[in-house]
Amino acid sequence: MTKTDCECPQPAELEKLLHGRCTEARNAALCEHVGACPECQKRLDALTGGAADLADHLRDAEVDTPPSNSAYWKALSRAEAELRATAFFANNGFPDHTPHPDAGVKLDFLQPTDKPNRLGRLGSFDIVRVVGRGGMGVVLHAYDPSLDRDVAIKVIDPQLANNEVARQRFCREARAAAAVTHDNLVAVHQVNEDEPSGLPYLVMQLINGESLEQRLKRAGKMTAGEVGRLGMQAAAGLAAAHANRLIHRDIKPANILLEAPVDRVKLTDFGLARAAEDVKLTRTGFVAGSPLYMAPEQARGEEVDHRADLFSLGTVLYEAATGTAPFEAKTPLAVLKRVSDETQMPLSRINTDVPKWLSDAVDRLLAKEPADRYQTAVEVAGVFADGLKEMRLLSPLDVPAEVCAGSRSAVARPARDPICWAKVGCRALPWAGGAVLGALLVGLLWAFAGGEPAKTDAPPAAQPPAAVATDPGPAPRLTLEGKSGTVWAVTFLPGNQLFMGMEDGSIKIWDLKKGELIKTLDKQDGTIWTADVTSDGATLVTAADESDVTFWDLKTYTKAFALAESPMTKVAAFSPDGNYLATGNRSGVVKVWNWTEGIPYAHLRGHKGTIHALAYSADGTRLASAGSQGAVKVWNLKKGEWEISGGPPPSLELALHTGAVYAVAFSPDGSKIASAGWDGSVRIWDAVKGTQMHRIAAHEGDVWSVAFGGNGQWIASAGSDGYVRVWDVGTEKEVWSYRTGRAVYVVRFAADGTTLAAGGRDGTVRVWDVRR
Amino acid sequence: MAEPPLTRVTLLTRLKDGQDAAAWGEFVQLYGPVVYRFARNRGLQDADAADLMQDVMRSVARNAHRMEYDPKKGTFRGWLYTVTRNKIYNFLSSQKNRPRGSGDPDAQERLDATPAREEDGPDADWEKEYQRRLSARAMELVKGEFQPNTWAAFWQTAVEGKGASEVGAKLKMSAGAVYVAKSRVLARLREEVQRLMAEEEEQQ
Repeated sequence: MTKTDCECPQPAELEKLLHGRCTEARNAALCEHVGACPECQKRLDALTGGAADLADHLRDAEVDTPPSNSAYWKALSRAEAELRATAFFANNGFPDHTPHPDAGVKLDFLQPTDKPNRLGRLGSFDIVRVVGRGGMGVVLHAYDPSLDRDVAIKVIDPQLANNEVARQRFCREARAAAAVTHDNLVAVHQVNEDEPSGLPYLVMQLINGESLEQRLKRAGKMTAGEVGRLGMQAAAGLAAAHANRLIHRDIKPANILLEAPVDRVKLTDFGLARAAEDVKLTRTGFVAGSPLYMAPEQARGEEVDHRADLFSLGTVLYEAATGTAPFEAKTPLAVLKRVSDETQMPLSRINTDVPKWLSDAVDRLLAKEPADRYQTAVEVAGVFADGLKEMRLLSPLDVPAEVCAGSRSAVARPARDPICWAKVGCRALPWAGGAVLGALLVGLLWAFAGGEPAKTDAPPAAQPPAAVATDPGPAPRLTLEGKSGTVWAVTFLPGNQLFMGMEDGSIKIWDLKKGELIKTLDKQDGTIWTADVTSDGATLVTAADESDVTFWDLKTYTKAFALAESPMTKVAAFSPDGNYLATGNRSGVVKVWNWTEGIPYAHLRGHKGTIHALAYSADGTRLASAGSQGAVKVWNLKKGEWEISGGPPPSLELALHTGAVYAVAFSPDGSKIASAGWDGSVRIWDAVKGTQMHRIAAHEGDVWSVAFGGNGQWIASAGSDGYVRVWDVGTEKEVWSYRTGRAVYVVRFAADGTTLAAGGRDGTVRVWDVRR
Repeated sequence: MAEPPLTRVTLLTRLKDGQDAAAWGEFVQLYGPVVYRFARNRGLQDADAADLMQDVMRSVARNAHRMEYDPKKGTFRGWLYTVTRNKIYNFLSSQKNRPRGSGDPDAQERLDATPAREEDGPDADWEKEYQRRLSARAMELVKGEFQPNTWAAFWQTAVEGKGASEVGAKLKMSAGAVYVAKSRVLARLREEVQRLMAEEEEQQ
């Protein structure tokens, strides 16, 4: 075997082979070698750790999978939906909705109420709903009848209330906070104790908006201008608090609220961290919460002053600019070590768009020694105001009052003309007037920023043939560049428009006549998997990974409402008359909704795993569904004996596919069903008898999408192999094809039956006019 | 352009954060089946095991914010085991006290039913279900990354135990290609299992 020995690949090459990173030719040669060389087989086994244990587990797991009629499947999907729902309201900030306000939050301290739509009473307040739950307790939306206004009430966690020291400190700090009013602080109206339960609570201004934490999670990192404004306003708020000897001690994204509509910064939970700390210290012997945003001296448990807040502000700004906290690590202990020992990478080196002044300012905030930081929040607000002005993002009139008032005493201010043209307005006006003025000014600033040359999407151009060896096929009439990653959802809209939904949650709507982008809808969380439009063209539905099933008004292109369905919805389709919506999720349940009422009208059970595709017959009486587990099921939806929330058994099961089925479609006359999936085939079925009429070996690898066209004579398919193909249904012959080079995930025919659109991995949607 | 340091966040951290819906989804998918199987192994009927699973999941959700990681007190998985075991015990005892109970009167005995090999400890079958589920979950997650042929080559050789040349003939692949395909899937599966495990264990 000397011959084989000398041909044996180096370990590095074997690794490459294992990860599929060899060229095709080399791959073939190596495969041949491995087939003949027991030595290399052994080496591969050693690299993969052999098959024994994994294979046993997989075999056992397969045998032990509960049957489809087991209660297990329902329970699993229920548990998942339920737990996902809990995630929405365990929250420090102020989300704009809570799906199940009373679940998980004990409200037994509330007094009963006879008013409808109220959860109960606390003192003189009517409790409207639960806003969120944080480390300190529960936050309630309440109505104050005496002053006729809505307020937020924070009721302290009973665990805290039982700790005498913590309770006293909480009340003291809260009263101190109530003494300070500032535009960038959430106003604390009063501190009360509820007599019946003995729980102290805070009555605060109700902020309409979201926390910085939610914002960063939803929209990602911020631009330099946004970070600058955040820094300036937060520093202004801190300055007002520090002037009243109030230290926050827990500045973090969850405690920074952004008030709609102009994202005015509002700091909340002043001093409360200290009360919480008292409890946690005794309970765990460890610092409270995550030290991600703590100053080194604070993390070490030393006495802190107002400069600790400045350090925390630095970490928040750093995270806002980069998406990652500067000293993030796997464990609290590791964070502590990094906070104390490591110097962060300057912002300007991570992102060249960050101007030097901002990068330097954040570095100075993050100085390990308090003495090396800016010494006052006033100074910080001034530096940020200057920087923003330099970036032409700040009207001089928008400078916070603190900067004007404090500029005289501030240390080390640049010897430059101070930017206090606003003295007139900001100091002299009474508080309320100042707030109104502030809002106006921020509004102005908004317009300012909007006036900058915005990045416009380049006009869609036909894809150049590029350097491909062979002709990819008929040139597309349009190539629409989504510029937001893989396209998963495409649908034609009335008025010669087209919808495309992408993996980063972006949605774009195009005019197909002009080939122009008409509208970018509000970005959703997670990949947009599916979209459909009602036949009257008024309503669009989308579903994305982390978002609700959302309905959009196509006249205004705005969100109309969302469905109380789990955010795991993978596919949604309107019935032809537009009265019903069918949805399929990742736990195998198909639901048919009376969507205008938000009522699930039928639950169709029997699938396992993810539902990938749904299709209505043109008359709306039948629904075909397909998913991870092989069979296409057809459901007869004519009113039967089943009641709401039940559903009929499937009337047909088309079970010849191997592996998952990703796509299903009804022919326009309702006589045929097409399906396709993992096994690379497109199958055409008799939709009445359930027999297979044709099997087309359509693509190498997965077929992701199928669509009927040409009055039902054609079926288009899209595959992982990068091809879009059109087949004659009767002859099974390919009549048209195009090679994109990257996987194609979705293909659709317009109502005319000849306009074809396809989108996928390369982030574009191509549009053709298919002729025979 | 330098990347900011990336950090792996454990599933537990994400659950405690409370706002991460996807983390809860992952949690249910990974542990729900373990709890169900375990309950079935301890003699619960299908519907009861399904209810119990839902109950355990709910209980975790309610207590997530209180979970503290303390390596001395054991792993998260160990904690979940305790919760599950207690709930099964409660269930079996309530069966016993029910007058018309058709169930078996020796709840505790059944609960403590000795696993196949005693030296493995009382939670050996819990651990085994967990390892099994890890593999199955990894499979669910990576299967889509492979061509059907590659997957079939892996499944038929590694899981069904057929020979490489037999499988190759059926799949129109050389024996070497079958071997490489199998190894590729295995390597990827191992990597995914590692990732899932790393998500659970907080590192000291």
